[in-house]
Amino acid sequence: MYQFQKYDGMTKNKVSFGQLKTLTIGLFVCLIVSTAYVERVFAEESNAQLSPGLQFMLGASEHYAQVGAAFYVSELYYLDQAGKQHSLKFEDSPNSQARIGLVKLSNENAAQTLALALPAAGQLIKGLGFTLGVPRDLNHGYPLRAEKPLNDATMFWTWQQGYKFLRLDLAGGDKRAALHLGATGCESPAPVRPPQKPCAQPNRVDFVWKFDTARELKNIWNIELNLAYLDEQFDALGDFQMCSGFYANDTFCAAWIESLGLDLERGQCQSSCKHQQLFRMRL
Amino acid sequence: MVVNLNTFTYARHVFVMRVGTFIRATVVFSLFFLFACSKPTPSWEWDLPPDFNPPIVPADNPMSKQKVDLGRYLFYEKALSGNGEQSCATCHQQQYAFAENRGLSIGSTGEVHHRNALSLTNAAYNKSLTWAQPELKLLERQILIPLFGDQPVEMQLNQQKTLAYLKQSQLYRELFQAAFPNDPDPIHLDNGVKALASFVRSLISFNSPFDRYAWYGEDAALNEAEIRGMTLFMSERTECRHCHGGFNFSLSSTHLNSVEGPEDFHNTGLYNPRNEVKLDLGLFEFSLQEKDKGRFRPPTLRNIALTAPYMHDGSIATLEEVLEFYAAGGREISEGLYAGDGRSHPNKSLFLHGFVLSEEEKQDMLAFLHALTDRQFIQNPAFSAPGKVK
Repeated sequence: MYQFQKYDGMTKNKVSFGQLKTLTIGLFVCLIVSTAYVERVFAEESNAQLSPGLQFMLGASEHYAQVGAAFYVSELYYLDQAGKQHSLKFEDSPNSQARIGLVKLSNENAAQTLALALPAAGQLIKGLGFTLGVPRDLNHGYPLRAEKPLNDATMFWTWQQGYKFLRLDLAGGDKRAALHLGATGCESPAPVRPPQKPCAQPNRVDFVWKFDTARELKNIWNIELNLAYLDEQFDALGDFQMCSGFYANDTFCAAWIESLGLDLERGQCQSSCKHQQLFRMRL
Repeated sequence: MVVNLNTFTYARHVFVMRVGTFIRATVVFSLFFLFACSKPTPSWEWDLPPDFNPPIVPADNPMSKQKVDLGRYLFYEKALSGNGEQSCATCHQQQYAFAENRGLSIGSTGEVHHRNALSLTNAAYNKSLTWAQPELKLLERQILIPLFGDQPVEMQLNQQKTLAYLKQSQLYRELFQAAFPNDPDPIHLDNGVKALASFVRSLISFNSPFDRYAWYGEDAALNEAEIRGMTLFMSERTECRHCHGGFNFSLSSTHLNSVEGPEDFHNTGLYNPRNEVKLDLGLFEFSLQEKDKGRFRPPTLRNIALTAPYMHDGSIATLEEVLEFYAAGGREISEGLYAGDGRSHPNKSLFLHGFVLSEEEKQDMLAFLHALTDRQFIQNPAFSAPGKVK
């Protein structure tokens, strides 16, 4: 092993000036290369973080210590400055295909982004909208051929009813609650036959956020699941609350459905779903 | 190209060319044997309904007919047990859809186990194996539990003795050689376990009247009572589908095109938790989290009419009683060691809120559950005991 001592020009097995120079140059080269590499990695990570998309987040909750939320987002669009609607696509990913994405949030995974496939850079938009749910033509497809993100058994009901559009599983203190929302009133000869007509209550929720001033589409759009709103209803909640299908039969389930702006009878929003309080955009 | 050469140069040229050709040919043949012959020729076709996705098979143990054949012999081989009287098939009998008709299994030493033997129907599609081990996903690992487990003792395999027995058998030498042609000394435990896993993966059952109706579009495969029962089963009213949903009647299922979702374990309100009584704690034994006490994996309901008694400890004797149990939202035991109201277990699933069925509806539900029986599966000679080994 070399010993770094004062150079006397004579001693063998000590570092010569030439060797020291070579070593120093080598170290600089290594430093430059590694710096370039680190810069590249950082740039890639930064780009990944800045990819435009919808970032869904769990809001804070005072009462619910355990939260599981899963939902389908589809029929994405933006409004141009003239208010005209243009459809948007999701990037292909393990959780999304062009028309639809699946978001799964929990205490351990409190945020998830569905990346957008932008048509071109620089659009200015006056609004953004999507549907919470699975489009009808996908909702009752042959389940064994289902492609991502519809190949998730935990989100599937039956061929007749299709998928759970929204699944909320909550626990806090001694109370536990679940809301599973999907199409109801679907008629077919059996649960393993698709309905020929639309379901009586489609229960899809159309969200749109309109902006006073134009914003750049290339952005990360933060959308929060408003758990604070669910907190407000905590005291009224029984120890065990299960809302899955028979929403109108239970006062609490009915209140939850209405929090999405849905009319219980028709399974649609009255005029628009703007009264929903479960999701809010953080601008 | 014209080459003008003298005799010596020409001879040298020819020699070099021939050596070159020889080397190239050797390389090509070596590569051919390396890539084409190092793996057994895929010789397996899954017997599935149209468009069904096959199960996930580990890359280091691809399916082959030869491995399944060997696995079948090993599955019925009593030399794998310590007492020489038990095989895998002792607790997993074909006539009971590869479960058994006793509440708790008995091991090679006579020790009574604390859990009911699960049916092996479509085990290849299970997201996890056994009643409550979320990380146990490979049959190749699970099989080691009955072979070597000592709490409880199941088969009590004596590895040395069993391998010696297999090696002296002409039939097993041929079967191992055919299954693992590239292994110069193929009779060893790892290969035996791979073959057993391959056989268990081959135990596919998708030919019940329900399957004929659902996946083959045969409207006459189910009668009206069975369809009414199916409608009830898949309704919000009974909530059966929340745990026993999907193509395999268990949400704890996966296939080649499915996404890896969270594990599903549920407390069904079978027992009331009491400090003085040692209960089977299910998933808690794995996670040590209070919320997991009494939670178990929902098994497939395929062939369920054949696999009585029911629940993780075989404590419910008939399907009728199982229906009554779920209709009551759990079980209250009035006397004895386990006296208490399981319905009030704090971990009980939200979906088990109970329901009321008329007598006709109950019979419809039972008719549907019986329509999940695949007669071809329990009579398939490919799954039955092979001839006696000499």
